[in-house]
Amino acid sequence: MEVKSEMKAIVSKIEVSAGAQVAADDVLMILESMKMEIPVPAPMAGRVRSIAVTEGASVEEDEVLVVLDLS
Amino acid sequence: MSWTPEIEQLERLRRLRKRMGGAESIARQHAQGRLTVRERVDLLVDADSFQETSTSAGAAKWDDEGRLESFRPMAYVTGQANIDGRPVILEGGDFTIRGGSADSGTPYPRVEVAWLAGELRVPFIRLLDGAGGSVRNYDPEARRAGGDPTMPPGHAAADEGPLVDVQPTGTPGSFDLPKRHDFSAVAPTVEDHLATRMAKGNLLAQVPVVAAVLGSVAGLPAVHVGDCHFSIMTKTAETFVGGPPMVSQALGLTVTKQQLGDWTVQAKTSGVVHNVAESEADAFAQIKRFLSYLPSNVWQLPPWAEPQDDPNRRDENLISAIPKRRTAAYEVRKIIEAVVDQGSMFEISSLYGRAMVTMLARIDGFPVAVLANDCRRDGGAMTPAACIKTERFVDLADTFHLPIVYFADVPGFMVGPESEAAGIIRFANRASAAVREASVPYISIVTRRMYGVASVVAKADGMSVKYAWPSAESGSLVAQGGVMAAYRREIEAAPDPVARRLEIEDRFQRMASVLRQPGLARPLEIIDPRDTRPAIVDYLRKSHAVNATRLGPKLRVGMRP
Repeated sequence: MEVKSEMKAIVSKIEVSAGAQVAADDVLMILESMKMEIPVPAPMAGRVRSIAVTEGASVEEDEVLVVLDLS
Repeated sequence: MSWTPEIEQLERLRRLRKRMGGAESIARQHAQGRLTVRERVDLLVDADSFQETSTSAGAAKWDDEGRLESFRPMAYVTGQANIDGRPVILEGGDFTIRGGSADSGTPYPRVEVAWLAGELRVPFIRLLDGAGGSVRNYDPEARRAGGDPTMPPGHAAADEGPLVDVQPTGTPGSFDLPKRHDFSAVAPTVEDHLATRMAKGNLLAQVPVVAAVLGSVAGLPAVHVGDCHFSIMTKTAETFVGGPPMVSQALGLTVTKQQLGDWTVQAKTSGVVHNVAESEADAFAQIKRFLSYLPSNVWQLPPWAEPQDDPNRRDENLISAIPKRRTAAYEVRKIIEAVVDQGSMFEISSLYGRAMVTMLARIDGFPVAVLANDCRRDGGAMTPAACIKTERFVDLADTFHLPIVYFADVPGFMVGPESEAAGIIRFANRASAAVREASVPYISIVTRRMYGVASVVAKADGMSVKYAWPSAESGSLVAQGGVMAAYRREIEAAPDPVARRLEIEDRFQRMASVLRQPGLARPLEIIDPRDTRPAIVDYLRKSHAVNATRLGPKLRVGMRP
């Protein structure tokens, strides 16, 4: 499953790496928009297949951030 | 001698009318994944409750002996019905009849039912599917030749005899306005426009009005999309005042119907349409949900329902809902969910003006209108779109006597070139005016930031009350922005300007806390966040008696800024 950005933002900090197991609501990364740090939670439990962005990158709304394999 | 032949004639018209645009047109409608108007009505209203009106309306032609020669049903279905046991009046466009073109029959049945909704004080629902007028209405030659060839033809019913299109009235070649009571009238008269406008003008102040965009909706029906309290569209529908051919002619632009007015345009960018539906069935479910929070008219209180939830429920998560780190965002919907009656949230316009969340919900069984800044969007700042959304939502709540519950975390009105170019100053004024004019119970919970003039959304007059969480902070402007503006010279002169700026900002930041000084927030009380639900329940119960004395239409005097 693709986890997409809900908004135009900058990738501030990536909290997980490929291969990691995550639980629902675990923070995958922090986005920054308008001086606010916006956590991106895992929508459900799974394993991180890949991370599509790098820290410091600008992302648009609906851009894929992380791909999860659901467990 | 009896009237049997006349009744039989009438029954014949009714049978023809039920066939809509004929099997072929209906198949085309279904092939597009769309329901017919009659299937839509069946899905929306309570079983067996639909009482159709004007069942024989349409354009009929009679021969010299007074026998029916041809009949094309009106492209609208109108009637009365119940939704969840409460009466409503509705109209639906029939796309299978000449694309739902407004000319196919008389306008009277539609004007009549809109008027009746106001007079009987029941909600009015428009199921829109179809275009406005067609220039072919003006062309007697084309009409004589059998109508608009681009539109589906009238149905052929062997057992009902041959059907041909209706002859035009008036002189060939002239743009004739038919007489008011001509049964084959094809365009509304000036008086009809006035009557429609008067009825509609009153309607929004009297009864809930809902519009659903279920197909391609253009022209006058498209105007109706904006003339309501709640609008919804499916992802396969679109609406615009003028379609691609008109845009091409007027502007030389080649655009698709989707580019002009699909859900991404109308529900996200323009905000004309409030909600998006995954299917037509979903659209009807959402319409029912919307109406369930509202009274049938402004002379009644919103329908209270026996609450299943404990009024004194204290959600433990609320104590840590606001992050200690000032710049950390949080999901405000989780806070709302922890406070309102379980399962009662219904978000309106979630894709537009997203810095302000607007929701209908229930607290202790009372329907309420919830406003909440979303700090994840535009930092929670009141953008022009968020202001427009706030103004409309506060007006909706005030019109139907819904108490307003506001979760405030606002850094101010949105700054920047984009915001200024969009007219933030005017829309800020209009949102503020709507809040000022509202006379419903109004309770604000200041959860974090409350800065600048935007803090007026936390209403501070009339019977409104304000509570603050310990995380609340307020001031005329956010320290981070204001310090640089006010202390520029001092900061620039310092050996380490950045350190100096941070030091001053930190000093102001500590001063902004509600625990230090009440500031702009001036709360009635600083509360434990876990006590929010009991505090709101207490306020709603006490203000209810006052709310109940303020029924009827809200008078709005003068003009908004």
